[in-house]
Amino acid sequence: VETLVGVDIGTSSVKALLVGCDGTPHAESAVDYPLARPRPGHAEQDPEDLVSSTVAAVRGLVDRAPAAAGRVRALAIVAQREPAVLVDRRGAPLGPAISWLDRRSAAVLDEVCTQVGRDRYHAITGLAPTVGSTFSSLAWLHRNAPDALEAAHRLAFAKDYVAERFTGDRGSDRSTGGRSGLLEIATCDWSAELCAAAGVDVALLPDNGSRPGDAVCRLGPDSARLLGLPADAIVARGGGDDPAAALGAGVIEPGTLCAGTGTASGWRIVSAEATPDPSLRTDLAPHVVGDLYIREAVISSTGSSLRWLAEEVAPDLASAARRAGRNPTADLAVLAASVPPGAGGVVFYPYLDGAAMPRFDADASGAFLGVRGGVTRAQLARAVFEGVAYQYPASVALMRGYGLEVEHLTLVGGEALSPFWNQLKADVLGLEVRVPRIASAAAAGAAMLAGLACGAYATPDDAIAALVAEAERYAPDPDAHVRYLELAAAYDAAGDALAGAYAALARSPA
Amino acid sequence: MRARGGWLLGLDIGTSSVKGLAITPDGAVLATASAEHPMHHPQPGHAENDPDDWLRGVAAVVARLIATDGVDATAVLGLAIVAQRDPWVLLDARGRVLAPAISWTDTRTGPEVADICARFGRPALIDRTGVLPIPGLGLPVLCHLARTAPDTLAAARLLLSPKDYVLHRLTGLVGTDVTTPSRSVMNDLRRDAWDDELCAAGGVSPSRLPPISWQPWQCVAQLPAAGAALLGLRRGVPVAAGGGDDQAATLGAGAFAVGDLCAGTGTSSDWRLVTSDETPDSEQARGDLARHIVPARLIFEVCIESTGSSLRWYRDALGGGADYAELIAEADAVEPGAGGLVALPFVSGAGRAPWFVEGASASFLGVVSGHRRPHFTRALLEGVAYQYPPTLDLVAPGRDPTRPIVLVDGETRSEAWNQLKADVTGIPIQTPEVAESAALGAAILAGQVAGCFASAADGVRALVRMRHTYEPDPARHARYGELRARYEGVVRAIATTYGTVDS
Repeated sequence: VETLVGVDIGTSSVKALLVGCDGTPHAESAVDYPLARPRPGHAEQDPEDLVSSTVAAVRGLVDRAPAAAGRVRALAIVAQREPAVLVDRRGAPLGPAISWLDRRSAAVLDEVCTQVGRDRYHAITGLAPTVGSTFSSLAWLHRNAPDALEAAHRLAFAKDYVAERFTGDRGSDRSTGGRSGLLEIATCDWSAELCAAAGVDVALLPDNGSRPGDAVCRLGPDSARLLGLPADAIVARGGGDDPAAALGAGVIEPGTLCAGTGTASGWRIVSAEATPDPSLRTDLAPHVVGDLYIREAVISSTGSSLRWLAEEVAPDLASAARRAGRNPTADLAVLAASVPPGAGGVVFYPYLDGAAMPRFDADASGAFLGVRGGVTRAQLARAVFEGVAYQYPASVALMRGYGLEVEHLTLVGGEALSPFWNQLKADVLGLEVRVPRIASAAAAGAAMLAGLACGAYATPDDAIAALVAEAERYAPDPDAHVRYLELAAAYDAAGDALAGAYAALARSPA
Repeated sequence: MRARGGWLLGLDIGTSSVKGLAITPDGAVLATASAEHPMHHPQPGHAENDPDDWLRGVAAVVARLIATDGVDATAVLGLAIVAQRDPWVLLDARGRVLAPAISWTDTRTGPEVADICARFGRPALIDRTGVLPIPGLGLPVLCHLARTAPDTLAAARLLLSPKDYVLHRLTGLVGTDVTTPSRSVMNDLRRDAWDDELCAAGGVSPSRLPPISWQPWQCVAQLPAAGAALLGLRRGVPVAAGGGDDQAATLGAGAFAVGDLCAGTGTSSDWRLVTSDETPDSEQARGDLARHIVPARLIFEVCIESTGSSLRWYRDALGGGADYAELIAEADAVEPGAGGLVALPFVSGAGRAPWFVEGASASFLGVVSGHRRPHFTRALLEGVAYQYPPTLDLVAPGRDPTRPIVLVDGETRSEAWNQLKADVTGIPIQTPEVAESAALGAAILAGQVAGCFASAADGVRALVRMRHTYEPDPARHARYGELRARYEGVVRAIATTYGTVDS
């Protein structure tokens, strides 16, 4: 059976998946790269890290399953949609890509949005103005580092920057600009008005006329050698990571929902309408399938809280886990599971990068409360897991407010690999949590786009039938759910009180 | 010349150890020593000592001091003992110890405190005794014994403080000084006498208590043969009455004149202002008033809870094996403000100065990605230091900001930490050369009974030397003024969360 490769360029790692056209998983590999934090609030990525990690991740597939890798028919790359690389005339990057987690542009965004009009921005893009969007970071560069912008020959989004290395093609697609803040959602064309507001020439942006799943070209001998794949493999046009993850979770019917778990937790509803949400609580972006859209709402800093916990609170555990080839989060879960629900009275608010769903408070920041003498590291760790899970019930309530019937929650992404974590969420929610067999849903979605490009699948439904297997299910424990209802009520009440502290923290001269 | 001139012996019986100091009358430290004693926790919340551990500790420390090269046991000129004031040693008719002594760290006597306050009125109690009634003090412990072990209490013919018990064993004397009853909640502060009504509430008549007949600097005995044998010293050494540990630490920090201010930096931070005002803080109940070990002086003492205990918790839970010096060195490299991170260092609550909030717990706020351990450490140090200015305003309002504050105890080992405190308060911080300030205060009393010093002031001039003065940096002080306003806004904003999430 022939095979497909899907690559997902995320915030902290590249994940690659090698899967048979019949859905047989052959290999997965992941290569981490650093997110540079040169100052608190700043977050940047080196574009070369994205390329070299993609190569390493694909070669990791070849090492693990050389025979299946020899039968690869097509390859597609999906990626986070915000970071842009400014390149010079020869295609060399002019600096790091500013991550979507970067918060330096908060003041500039405020100013520019006031000029444009928030309503106008929202009507054009379908997005709430967001710090860390391409629009926001470019506006910051325009005011604070205009040299890079003036020297730029063109602008490439992360995925397109990487794919160009293998294909020489500079094109983008309908979905990749979906969170840039530069796209007209109704037409899926670049907005000259918003480009001008950000201070960037619209001519710098790539052609985005093609669709995810279109065939671009064959890999060719040089790139085939670099990646270790057959030279006649087709490179498919990829797309945005979150819409690809919705496809990878089998979510392409209007009114269906899945929740991703990465650095942040993106919740996605499929929509046939290009109508922006007047409450600004969900963003609208093109799906990777047909003329559909997804509405996205994000719980901020879920995965990044765990990563932060591992690096700053338990660096010894994290490095021991890495030496043993394990994900540090798994070891943190063991630590957290060693103490009972409630974490000894410690609570954690995971707003390390501001609060989106369900609190929607840009001033919010992370907090530990309730620390008393004798509190252990295990209790701090459990508080972080619980603090993330406590964001879920209000998020489900919000989804129901959009008319969705939420009777279970499909979870994809890295967190879904942890049974402890899935069970905790089910217990806190009081809802069944379902996990597809391939948890790396964005990479699975990329593989499906590859399969559409090479003709392995005639339709997205065919791709889903082949790749999205029956879910693992976690039923909530009724007693645990009752306990968590009490704990979550106290957590939410204290969270309301914290709003005053966030304002005091944000107002002041730090 | 020093050996010819002899030396002074100061001893301090603390909560976890006995500390001792051998120092010449011109201020040369010949030796220091300490001996730890166990704290017994037969049940959670209970904390007890074996009184004879204190006696053994004193003997062990003296043995270590005189075993040091250059310390001639026969050349001791005088000795004084100071001690924690709270525990009672119960003795039977033959002078034998009846039961373990309940420590001031014991938490079981909360209900008794409530009863006493309900019966006498908290302001009236403070006005009479000077001390804020809290669990672990003399009267609540006696009330607890009267309820739970009435036979033991009835069998007690004599109740002594730790210092007076050790003195009793060394000299046979029964008595106490005017500073030691200050944490009993049974004393009459203004009359230097036992209060009959309060003693009755504790189920003991003043006849079973030592007479309050001594001044701390008074010579009460020449060391008799039995005591000399216990300590390995010569007979006839002049013995001072001694006094309370915090008073001695205050004198050992050089604070004896009205307006002098020093602070101990241990598990909590205790701010001690020397005053001549005999009016307790009965209405506002912010601090304790007690006699100093200097004539006609008193000490107003205000406690900030959870300072050292917060740092200890942080080091143990999040320090990753690093010690205080390493953690503080990392934090010193971070700019003031800790990158926006704020720590409220209340791991044992914030029930005392400057917030007086019940049920508080510690928190970290304003955490963003990119904050690393040094930011957390710095935020915690700043959170401790931000409590100093409002506490100062409360202890010594309108005090001249150019007049230094003397800090003693563990935290003063860190230069960066001392400087940070000077920058936050805008007041020069001084640290003395001799870290064992209570033992040094005792050595001054020893020098007075030995005839080396005519007064406490003489003793301070001879024995107390400052190691360093940390001058505040004006730019940093201004910056910290802004940051502290922000911090206080956060403290107010989250006060409503206490007791909700963590109960």
